[in-house]
Amino acid sequence: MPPLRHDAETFYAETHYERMVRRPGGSPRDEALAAAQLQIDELKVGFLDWLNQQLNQLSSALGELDADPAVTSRVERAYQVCAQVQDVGTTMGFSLVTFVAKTLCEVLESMKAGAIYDKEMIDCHINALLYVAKDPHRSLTQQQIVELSGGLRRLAGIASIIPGKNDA
Amino acid sequence: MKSTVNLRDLVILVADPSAYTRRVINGMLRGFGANKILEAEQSTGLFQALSSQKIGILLCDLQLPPHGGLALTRTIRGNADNENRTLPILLMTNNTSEKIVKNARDSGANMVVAKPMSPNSLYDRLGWIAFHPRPFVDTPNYFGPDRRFKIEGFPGGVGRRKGDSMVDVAEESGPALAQNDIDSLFTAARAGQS
Repeated sequence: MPPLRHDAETFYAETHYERMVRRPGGSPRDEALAAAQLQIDELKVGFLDWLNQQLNQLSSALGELDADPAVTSRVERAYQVCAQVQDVGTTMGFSLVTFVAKTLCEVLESMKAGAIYDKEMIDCHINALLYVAKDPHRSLTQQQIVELSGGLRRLAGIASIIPGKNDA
Repeated sequence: MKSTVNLRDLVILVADPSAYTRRVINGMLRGFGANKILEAEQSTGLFQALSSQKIGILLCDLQLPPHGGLALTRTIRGNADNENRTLPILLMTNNTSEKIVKNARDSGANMVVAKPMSPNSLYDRLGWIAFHPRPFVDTPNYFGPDRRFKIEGFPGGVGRRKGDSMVDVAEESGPALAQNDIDSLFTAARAGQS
């Protein structure tokens, strides 16, 4: 039996990061988290303005996409704007905004992978996003609007069907 | 006593295409005590930042333009002459499917954090990277932190890597439970059967 070949070297490298972070004098976890939450709360003041701007940009990007769904850069543009909304919604206390943006991102990702453009499905998502971004709906959770969240999940599932790829 | 994370005077580079997301992450890090935070909206020019000053950790979005966070991580890890080769890299992504996480791991990232992020998830990962360091592995087709989080050794001390060895097990020094405790467990079990 031939001897085992060892072609992998392992070594420990104490990084600058490890040395710095382990220094004494850091804030206790609870204090650090509370201070971070305070910083987030300060940012929340401008969040709604930012969110409305993003939704306008998203509506515009989806309008351009509708004009020619075959242009992949338009799908990508809409996806990027939607992903930005998804990325911060929950952090800023709007979990439903993140949820709807996530399902729209999934629909757009499916399109990037070859799924057929469906205007009604896109419209349904953008309308839902506009709906949950407004008072009093934005403070709701998925569990409080089961029909809407269930319906969007089903739509995202249907959108993931890519002709010729999902066929058994 | 629990360890604290000290980010004071550590240079942290946050790379994310969204200005608002960068602000949110920046805010969290400042809350944790960081005071030196650099931002980048794309990877172009990021290497200049890496070479011009000592960066402590890179927080990078998986979809960072133009080539994405995975490609950036591979480039940093792949350059043997680069002093930042062992730089801790925390990849941020809104898609935490198994495939994506595996790809992040195989690119050489230290860890993945899901977006939207909470202060808890970010703080814990920053702490984990500092207090639970993994050895680096250098192979012809991978350079980065050991992708195995739990190293338990191999029977007979023979493994795939030179450093693999038997797990040290302490000598047996008597029963783990006192005889009285064992007797009570049996008594309770019998009572449950009847």
